Amino acid sequence: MKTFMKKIIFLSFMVLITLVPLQAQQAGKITGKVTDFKTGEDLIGVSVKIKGGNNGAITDVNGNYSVESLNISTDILVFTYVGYNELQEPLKNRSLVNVQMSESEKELSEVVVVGYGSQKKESVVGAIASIDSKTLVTSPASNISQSIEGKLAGVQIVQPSGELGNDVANIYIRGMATWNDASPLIVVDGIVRAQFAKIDPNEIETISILKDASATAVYGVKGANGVIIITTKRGDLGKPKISITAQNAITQPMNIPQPLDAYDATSLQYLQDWGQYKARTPLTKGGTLAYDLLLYRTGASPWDHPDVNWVNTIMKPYSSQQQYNINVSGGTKTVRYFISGGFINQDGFYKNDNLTDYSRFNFRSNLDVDVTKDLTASLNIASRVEDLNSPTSTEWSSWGIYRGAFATSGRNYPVYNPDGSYAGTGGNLEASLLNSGVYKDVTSTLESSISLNYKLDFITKGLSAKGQVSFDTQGENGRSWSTSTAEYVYTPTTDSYQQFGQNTPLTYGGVIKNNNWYKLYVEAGINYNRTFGVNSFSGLFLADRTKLTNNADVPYADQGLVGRITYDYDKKYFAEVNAGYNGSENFPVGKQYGLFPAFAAGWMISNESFFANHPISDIITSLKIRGSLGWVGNDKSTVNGVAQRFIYLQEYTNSGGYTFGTGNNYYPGIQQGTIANPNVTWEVARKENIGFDSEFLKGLFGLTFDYFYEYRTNILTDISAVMPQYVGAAFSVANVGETNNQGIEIELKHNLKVNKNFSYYVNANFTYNVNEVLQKADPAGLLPYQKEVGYPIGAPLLWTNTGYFSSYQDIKNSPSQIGSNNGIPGNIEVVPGDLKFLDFNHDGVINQADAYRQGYGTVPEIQYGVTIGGRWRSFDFNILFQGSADALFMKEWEIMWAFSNNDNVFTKENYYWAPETASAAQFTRFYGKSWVNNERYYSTYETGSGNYLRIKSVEIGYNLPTILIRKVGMSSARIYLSSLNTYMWSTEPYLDPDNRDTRGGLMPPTRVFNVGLNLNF
Amino acid sequence: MKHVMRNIKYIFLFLVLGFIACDNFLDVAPEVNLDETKVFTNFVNAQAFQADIYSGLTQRFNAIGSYLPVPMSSASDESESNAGYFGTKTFNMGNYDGADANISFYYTAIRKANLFLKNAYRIPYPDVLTRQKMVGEVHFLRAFYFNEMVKRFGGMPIMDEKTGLLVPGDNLMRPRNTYRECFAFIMNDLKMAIDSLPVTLNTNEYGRATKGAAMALKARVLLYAASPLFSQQTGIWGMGGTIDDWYDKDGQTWWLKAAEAAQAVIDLTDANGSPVYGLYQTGAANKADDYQNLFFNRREQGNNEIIFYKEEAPVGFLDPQINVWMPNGDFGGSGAVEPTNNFVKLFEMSNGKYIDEDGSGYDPKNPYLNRDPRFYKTIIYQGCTWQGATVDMSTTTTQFPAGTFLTGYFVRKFLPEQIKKNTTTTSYHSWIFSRLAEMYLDYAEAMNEVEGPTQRVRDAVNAVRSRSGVVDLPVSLTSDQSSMRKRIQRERAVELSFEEQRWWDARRWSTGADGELAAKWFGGPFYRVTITKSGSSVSYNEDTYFTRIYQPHNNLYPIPLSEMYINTLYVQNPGY
Repeated sequence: MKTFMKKIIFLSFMVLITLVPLQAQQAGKITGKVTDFKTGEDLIGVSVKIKGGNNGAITDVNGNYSVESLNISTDILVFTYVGYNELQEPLKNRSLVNVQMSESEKELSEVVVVGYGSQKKESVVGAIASIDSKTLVTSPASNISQSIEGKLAGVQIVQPSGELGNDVANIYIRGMATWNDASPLIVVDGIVRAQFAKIDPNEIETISILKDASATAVYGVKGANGVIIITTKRGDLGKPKISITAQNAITQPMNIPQPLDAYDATSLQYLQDWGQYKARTPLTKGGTLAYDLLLYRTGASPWDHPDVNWVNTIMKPYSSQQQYNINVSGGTKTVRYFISGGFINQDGFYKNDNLTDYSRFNFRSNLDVDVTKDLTASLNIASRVEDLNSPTSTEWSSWGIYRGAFATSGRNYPVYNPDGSYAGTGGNLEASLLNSGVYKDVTSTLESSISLNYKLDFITKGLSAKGQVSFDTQGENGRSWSTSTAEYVYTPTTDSYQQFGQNTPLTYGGVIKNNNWYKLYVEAGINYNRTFGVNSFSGLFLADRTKLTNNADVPYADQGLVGRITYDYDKKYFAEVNAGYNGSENFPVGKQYGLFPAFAAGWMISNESFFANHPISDIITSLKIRGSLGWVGNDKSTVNGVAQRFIYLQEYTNSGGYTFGTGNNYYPGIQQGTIANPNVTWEVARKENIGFDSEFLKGLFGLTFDYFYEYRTNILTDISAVMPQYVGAAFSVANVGETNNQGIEIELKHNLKVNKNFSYYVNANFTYNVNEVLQKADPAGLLPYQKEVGYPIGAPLLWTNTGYFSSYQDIKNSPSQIGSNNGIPGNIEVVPGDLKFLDFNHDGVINQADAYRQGYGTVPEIQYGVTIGGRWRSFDFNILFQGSADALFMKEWEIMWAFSNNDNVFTKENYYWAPETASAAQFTRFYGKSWVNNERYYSTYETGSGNYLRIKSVEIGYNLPTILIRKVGMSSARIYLSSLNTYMWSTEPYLDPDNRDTRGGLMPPTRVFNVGLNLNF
Repeated sequence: MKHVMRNIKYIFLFLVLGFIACDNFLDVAPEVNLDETKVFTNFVNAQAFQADIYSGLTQRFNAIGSYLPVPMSSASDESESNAGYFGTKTFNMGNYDGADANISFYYTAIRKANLFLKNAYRIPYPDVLTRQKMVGEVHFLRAFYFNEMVKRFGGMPIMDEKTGLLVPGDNLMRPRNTYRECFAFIMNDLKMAIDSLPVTLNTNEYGRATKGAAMALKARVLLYAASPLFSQQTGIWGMGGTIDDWYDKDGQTWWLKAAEAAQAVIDLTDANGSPVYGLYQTGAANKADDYQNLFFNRREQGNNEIIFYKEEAPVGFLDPQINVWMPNGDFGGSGAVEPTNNFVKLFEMSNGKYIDEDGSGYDPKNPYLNRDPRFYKTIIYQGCTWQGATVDMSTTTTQFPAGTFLTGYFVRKFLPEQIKKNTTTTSYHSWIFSRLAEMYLDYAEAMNEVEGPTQRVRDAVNAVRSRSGVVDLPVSLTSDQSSMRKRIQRERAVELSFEEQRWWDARRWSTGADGELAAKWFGGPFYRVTITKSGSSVSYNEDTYFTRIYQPHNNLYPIPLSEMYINTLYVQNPGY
């Protein structure tokens, strides 16, 4: 039967061929239907044209078209559709031509979003990385700052906190080159905005990371730390498309330090007490140690010998999260729209606490209207409302409660007394969690803009003008209602209660946080874009102005001019000049403006005929070399976390004063403020970049490589470290700092369609960058290895711990332990089990001169990610391995030292030094530990490592069969399981490697397991 | 249409030019609320600026350490810092780097003074007297603050209103000035202060500097300059001799000048010709009560002994000034300041003999019987009554948690007994920078060096002793200068105990004839007394609890290492 059919077809074909000449020059009407190759969906708005002719049509809502052909035997139909590969179909005397178009994998990346515009990918010569929304929408992260990690070369991400509503990660582009604010500039839809993390990922079309000067120079005085550009989705011509996504997840905080139980903790405390005060009897609860231990072991006396695990008492093992989004997009000939609404809700990690939750509503509407043939108006409105509820005790941060959970001793009092009252003397965590009152924080954000784009082809072809106005506003309103609960200490022997604190009713405490700002942005510019034969030019000239006013500060203002000229010759040679001329309100009049130019060039070798004709072109399909050089600025300065503004102004401030006389007559004081720096200016980064983009074996492999070097000068630096104290005043920051920052980025791509049913891809990226302080406020006489110059930014000054003293003989044979530089060498008592430090300068004494700068800063020098994904029949999958290395953070207080605060100890402290266990010791001795021994100095012993490799995300999806879903009018339906932070291998065993709180008090990032459903109509 | 289009070009041109032309868009900086001119051309502002210069005066009850600091006495042999208040521990282990440097603090105050003096000419004073007073006070304060530097380090960079107001761009590196230059700078400031300050103040100005305050400081500065530590060194570290061959060039000894300066304070009279200062005596039955109360009463309460003090509001139990010193346990304080037995042994018997002297009558089994009357006003000891309780510091005490006190003593001096735990009672509690008793002792010490142990030397000491009901010094002392010197030193230790005098006194005496007094007193074994009760009998056992480290070079502080790193022109003090 099958062979018969084949023969029939063959015969028909032969007949047709023979008929062709006879049918020459015959005109006719051609009809047909265009559908999606993969989904079978009707494609609406596909342009159908006769090649070389004027006739054309657009498919209707059912995907049908009808077009007149003048010669149905030789005419060729050309189908074009945004996002799909162009299709050419010879008519060959058919009057019914149904075609299937396949989605273009490359189409989106063909155009790259750049500052104030976009460029064709082939002509880009700057260092720009971008991802599209596909990789973001199904991530169960609570915000997208967490889900871009590992996907982009040159982007380092550190997420120090996973606390609800405060879990936005820190993003660094190519590491950091300043000790001031190193965060990148964020641009959403062409407008500088405070953040992008809380945009619903379903609204995002692409994220572009601008890294080198040629890409960022247009942002002038604000571009030095790199730029993140978010472009949101817009509507395309066609019938309405509806997409619905629903996700449900369970969440779990990772890496909470686990305290020891009462028995173990008590026995360790005995070892501690025994030595700390040599004559002192260890503290017991009125009996002997053995008796205490007996009661802890048996639990026989839970009221005065409790064993509370506060972590398990107040923390949930699991919590939940839901995300929903619905969006509609489409367009008619004159109006295109994209409308999206999203909702996320996260439940808190505290047990029994129904107060803590976070929800966010996102709304976005992007409209484009063709007013006339030449004039397009766009209106973008986005808003979001964030609603954070928490107990009043955590209104500023969860630090107190969360840190308390692992740091508070569980041996002091039970959670509840026998009569059900809270036990304790005022620090019962359960009480402060459940009975502190309610805090409600609402943050509403509106981001809106309207722009007009006028094609000025009548003046000269390729010229257009654009004007844009944006109004953004945000208001945060945090109100608190407070209450307090008495706690009681219960004495079983007398059956009595002693009260601590008072019961107070819930009272309204007023508006605790009230942060409001609004920002107005105006922009006007002209664009020019034209090709003359093999010469293509583009130009941009634009002026903009921003003013941000908030309820507390002096307004922030900046304005500037932007210019860009690009040229390409025959798609072989590319050149580009970018410049920003802008100013910021932070600097003295007359010194407010700076010019930041950048130059770039590229050479597409693979388009050269000598290359294309060479056999190597079969292997290297595409090769472009590019390089850039430019200058960019940074006008932000912070000292000890405080933003520095108007540092050229000399102020006198009210101050202390003094009391005279008999009746406490207070005389208010006035004093000179920080001594102004009249010459303050911005930081300047000179950035150099050289790299290549290549493709091998017709796209089977792709490799992009970049080497970058940045030299940053004029870094505003706190110079107090070089000011002798007899100056008697603090000077403002001065432009004295210099750094360099260099590194490489590698991106590897591989994808292969093995057969009809199976295809896979591997995307890998690797970033290594290292910075070096070239000039900072280092005292002239400081030992060279203690200066910051020559070391990475933030590398700490540490003694090197070489282990523990094994015996008194060992102490005798070792250099005398830390004497302060002007004291008596070795006048610190040490005993076996104490830390032993390296005599770095070989002078036989361990003192300040043996500390040297070492290690890394807090931003990882190495970041890498490998995504492996693919498709098998209707299943798709991907897994992302992501890692960081060469970063460190310091640990102190309870997280480092047993019993140093709040009386708690962790499992790790079981591995303390003792003569018998010396080889396995991870921690110094317990007994004999005193306040004055050498452990209180910072050393490598107290560093935590930021090295890790983790399975950042895993996802498996299943596309429901088309046959099923078409019946209910859907074009596609996908169900998927995904996970975030699935598993981690890290060097630091007890804390999250992204922890940046020296006391470990930030709630770690969360692990998420998610099930999701995506429906498209 | 074409018309419109042509206009569009202009519109854009206009817009772009508009941006550039409108260049005050960025000028959003606020007008400075107060600047130099606004401060110094307005009398009220200038007065506030001047008042703020006083904020460099601090009480020294809580002087050393970052958390609930302890007094300097715990670095000397007077007391120990205990119970985790280890501010002075680092001293006692021989580590001096930065422990009490205060360089930044005092130079900040000096800069304020300089800024005031630089602008003093343009302040619209209401009258000449006000001008003299305000300027005089600032000269006094600058001298006071700078003296704090010099007594710690020796010569330090002189910052005055002409060259000391460094701003960004200046060369910040200054070498240390010589001790002589510093001395002259301080003396010049004091001369200007003495010349322009009033003798007495209206009550609403109490706490401000007076002529007497400046004169008393002058007496002390001269006494220090005359003392062995500074007179026997040269350059940065000393005067290089005991004869004035360079300041007034009158060939007098610095000792004589110091004695005269102290005498002048004692003799100072007000407009009515009455003495301005007098030892505080109320005619109380127990004369030592006056000694105790002089720290709680002020001039307005009839106390004319105080010459200069830190003006503060009354303090209560929770104030660290009280709490750190207050015995712990049942008394609710921190018990962080504990007198040593080294110090307690310095108190004479009531008959004027040292406890280890023949015929003293000292009974080791009852060590606190018949001691110098000031002992009972200075020390809280076993068996004394404090806040209504009989203090028990024995090994079997129930007043204190076991092991929470160290030496067996607490300080009574400065502690108002009526301030009890869980009460809101407050009391004046003065940190006194100088009082008349010191002037008598300064006079006696200096005069003993000038003319030997004459009767007037003995009289001056006796004046101080008799105020508290202490017997006169033995007449035999008037024939032995060296013994008299030692006696005066011991007198200062007892009379001026815990007033942050001994720490500096011991150092300035510690060169030459008296050798290393400070090393002897502040280094070596430190003693406590362990009290055991058995039935009704109490036994006292002295033992060493700590061996402190003090080396001769500790007589001057080191320039902090961090400062040495910053300023390569600095010369470090010897021994560091």
